Amino acid sequence: MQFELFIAIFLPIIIGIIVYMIKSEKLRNILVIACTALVMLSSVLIVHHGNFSLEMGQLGSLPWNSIIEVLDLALGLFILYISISLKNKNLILLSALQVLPMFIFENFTGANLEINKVIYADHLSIIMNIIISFVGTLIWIFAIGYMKDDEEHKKVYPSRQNRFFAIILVFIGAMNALVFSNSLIWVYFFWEITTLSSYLLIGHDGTEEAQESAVRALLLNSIGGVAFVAAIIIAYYQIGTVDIQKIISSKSSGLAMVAIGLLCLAAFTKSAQIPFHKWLLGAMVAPTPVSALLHSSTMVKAGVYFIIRLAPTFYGTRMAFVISLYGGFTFVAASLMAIGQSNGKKILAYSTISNLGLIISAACIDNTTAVAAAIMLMIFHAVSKALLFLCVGTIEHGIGSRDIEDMRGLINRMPFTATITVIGLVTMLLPPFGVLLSKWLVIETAAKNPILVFMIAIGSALTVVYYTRWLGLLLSRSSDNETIKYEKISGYIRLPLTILSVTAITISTFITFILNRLIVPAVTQYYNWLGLVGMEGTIEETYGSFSLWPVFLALGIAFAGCYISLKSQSGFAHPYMPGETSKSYKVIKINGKEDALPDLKVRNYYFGGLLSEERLTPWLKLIATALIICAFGVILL
Amino acid sequence: MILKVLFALICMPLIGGLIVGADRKLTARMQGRFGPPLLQPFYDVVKLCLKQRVSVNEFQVLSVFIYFASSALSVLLLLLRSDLLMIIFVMSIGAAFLVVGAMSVRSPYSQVGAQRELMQMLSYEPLLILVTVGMYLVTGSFKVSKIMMRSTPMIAELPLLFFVMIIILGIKMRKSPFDISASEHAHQEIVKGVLTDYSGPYLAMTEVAHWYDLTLLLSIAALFFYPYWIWGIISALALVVVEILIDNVSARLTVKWMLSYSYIVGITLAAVNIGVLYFVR
Amino acid sequence: MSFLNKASKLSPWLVHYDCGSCNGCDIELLSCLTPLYDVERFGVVNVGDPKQADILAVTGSVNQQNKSVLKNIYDQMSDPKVVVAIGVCACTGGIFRDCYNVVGGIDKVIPVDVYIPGCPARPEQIIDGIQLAIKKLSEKTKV
Repeated sequence: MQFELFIAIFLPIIIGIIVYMIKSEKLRNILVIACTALVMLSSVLIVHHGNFSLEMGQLGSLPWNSIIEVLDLALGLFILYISISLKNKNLILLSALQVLPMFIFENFTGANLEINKVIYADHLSIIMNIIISFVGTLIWIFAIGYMKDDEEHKKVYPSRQNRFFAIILVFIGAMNALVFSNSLIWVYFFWEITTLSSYLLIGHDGTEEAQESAVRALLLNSIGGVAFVAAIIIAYYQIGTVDIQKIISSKSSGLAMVAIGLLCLAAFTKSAQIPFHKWLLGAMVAPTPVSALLHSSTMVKAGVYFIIRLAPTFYGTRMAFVISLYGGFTFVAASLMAIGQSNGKKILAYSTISNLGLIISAACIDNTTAVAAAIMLMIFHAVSKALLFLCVGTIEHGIGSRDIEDMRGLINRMPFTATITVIGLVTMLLPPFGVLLSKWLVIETAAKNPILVFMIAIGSALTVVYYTRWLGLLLSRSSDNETIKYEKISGYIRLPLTILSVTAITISTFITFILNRLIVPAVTQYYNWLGLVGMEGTIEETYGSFSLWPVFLALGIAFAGCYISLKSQSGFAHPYMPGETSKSYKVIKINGKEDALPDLKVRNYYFGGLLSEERLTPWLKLIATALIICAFGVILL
Repeated sequence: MILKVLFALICMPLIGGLIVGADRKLTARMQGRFGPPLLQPFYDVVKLCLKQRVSVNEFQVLSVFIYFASSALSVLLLLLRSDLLMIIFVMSIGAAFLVVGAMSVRSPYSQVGAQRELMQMLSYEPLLILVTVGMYLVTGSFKVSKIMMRSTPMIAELPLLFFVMIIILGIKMRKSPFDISASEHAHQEIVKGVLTDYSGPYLAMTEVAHWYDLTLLLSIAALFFYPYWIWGIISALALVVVEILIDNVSARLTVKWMLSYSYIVGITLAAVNIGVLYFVR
Repeated sequence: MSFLNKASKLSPWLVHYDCGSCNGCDIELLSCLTPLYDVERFGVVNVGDPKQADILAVTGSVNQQNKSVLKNIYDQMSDPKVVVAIGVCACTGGIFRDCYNVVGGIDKVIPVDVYIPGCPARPEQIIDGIQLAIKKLSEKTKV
């Protein structure tokens, strides 16, 4: 087991450091591809092995725990140094509030922070590991092709790709370590590494906007960091340990719940929930692989992963009730703001925030099926959202714009990318694919909670609106006079897009297999009973069931019927245009004066500024903050 | 089992067509006219199938087939007593693809019609989900098979949700004041709206899919009265008559009105009903 | 077979285009939809979309400006289709035949199946003409 762990955690870090130091692009690409293959292999081996736990004794003469503590201190001081050099008072305060208490707590209070089984992998960790290892490494391959074009576009000499690749490689290693760590101190260390990587990567381009967004990300994530440190200290004094498994199995109440609440708060900042969501929107200025990797499928998933991991502690408490309302509120609010957007990356960012809110909400409903639904949504959302971000990045390079209005008729100009984007949108939106199935499961389990189910119902309808109109835009075509061009893209980009889209469809087809093999064991390990089972193409749950195979069959018949019908069709017609087309009039006369005819412009309905960010955000932040305060308040009741 | 499949796939749309035919006849009589024969919708569909088969692009054809398949599947699933929430989501595949098909055409009428159709979906989908949640709160399950094991009808505990069905049915049946994106008869403000660029056999398929949707929603309305299924059928037909009445006395209103009406009135009614249920139990 | 034959006669959808008419014939045509004459009992529906229509009912004479428009609408209709010229202006140009911009009746631009003379043509004549057009339509329909 040590070998697979080494590959999963240390190999990316080591190769990242090597890649930073070499200048040759070819060698770097080879190293990254080799790392990809090895990390994927290690992940498969870990799945095959199943649950495990390890003691990490000593490296040479130093215990691992001390190494991590020293590295943590170094990291904290580095972030403090960055904040001082940025002259940002808030940031200095927040980083000092993290470094000093940790230092004092670790060294001067005589706390025993040694843990026996500090590497602990249950099915939840293994699921996260698969997501990180497969989706993350495919994004590495995509980045090879994408960054080359990107630096050509932005005219970056000398190339800064070595810095970029080094950070994303180290990041994956840190994420893998995060999901396998059992000690709060270790989790905190890797958590902070992800914060730092996010800061460095968002500011990669070096423009003023990028720098501003990076600082905002660091600031908001540092709030989470302070909450985390406070939680560690309170947890140690209230429960007596920083071992996560022991914390989960102890029935905590009172002040110990405050620690859990603070950990949830840290997760909220990491997962960009309202009111901490501004940083994720600003992070969209980063290059696309960063958005796909950090800000949709892995780093923000660390927050919700942690909440799902802690869910057994507050299962059924009032705090869980309030947090589920909070998650549902984020779901609805972010969907509402996504409707008023036409910037493709911002739509995807708001969609990510809303889906993460739904995962948090599901994890806190007092029904074990809901926790399974949360895990399911986490898996499927990671794959589909990463795919969509990669597609938007490719489209941006192809047409030079992120606005979905400019993507009208993309199927004619970039058929491969447009088809993959359509597949991504369909898997995010419709049955029988995974994201909608998990949404179905969440509604079924949330139905006992009226306020929550209202929010989820409205949010789900809003989701359909902003994805369907994007889908329709891409397929805009008049077949009688438009030809489909052949699209030239590099193999480095074609391969991850193809693999991810095939994966998205395949995991939805085999959802019952994933459910039984991975998700159900992940839940039954901590809760006694789970009324969810997948069998023969149907998901059976206590209150309902979803049969997948009829839907696939119907869609298959529809495709076949369409193909047969198109083969024997006589031709294509022109879209309906009454009267004269305006092209025949060059000039028109208005009130006797000649005037040029304005161009016809068709746009989606974006609610005309009614649902703009500026109008809504203050109110939404207010409600969200009130809900968080409520969550802590009910602990006292 | 085979009988159920055949009944669902063949008889239900025929029933839907008859209801649409009766709808046109009743509307005509209300307006003091004779009106078309009862089987008129069938004549329309057959005639459309005999016309030349053209479309504007390939995705229109795909969208029509997916719309047809998902509407047919949702009726079949209802007759096989599956999960109601699943049925609603399957129906929404078709509705989403109808919008995609219209948006794939570069004609301003289709584009505006598609946007309005999206707003219509935004209006009725939460209400329909909430109706199913109401049924779950009363029965303890989302499955139609559990609902059909009851001995007392759900209408006694879900009266307000039955009224919410009027809004949902009005939007789905494209009756005034909700016939904003397309309508039964030609209101030519945006020509035929979301269906403008469909012609011939493809238009016939959208019409038959519409019949499937109609029978699905009327069956859900009839479920409120199970096990008195005679009362269920009568109430479903009464709902249709109420819709026709409202259609004839009101004008078409705007998208903003429809959204605010369905959210304020619809969600309030659903909230009151579900809230009362939640506190009583 | 006979049901298909019957169906092709019982559902004629109409699209109405006013070429250059004084609106007299238009008023008479639209009054056919009113309860007094009620053409819907024959299955006639006034769809505004030529793609979905079988019968093109034209009033008014063709002039230089709307020649291409009329051709455009005729081309967008899918087979089988029939054209009905309502009123004497649509048939031959009527009293405006010698005007400098008038080309003539609509048969100068598109093939016409039924001519309904009259100034204005009475609703009964229009309904009669549409019935004739329906018969011609069912002959054109390939069953």
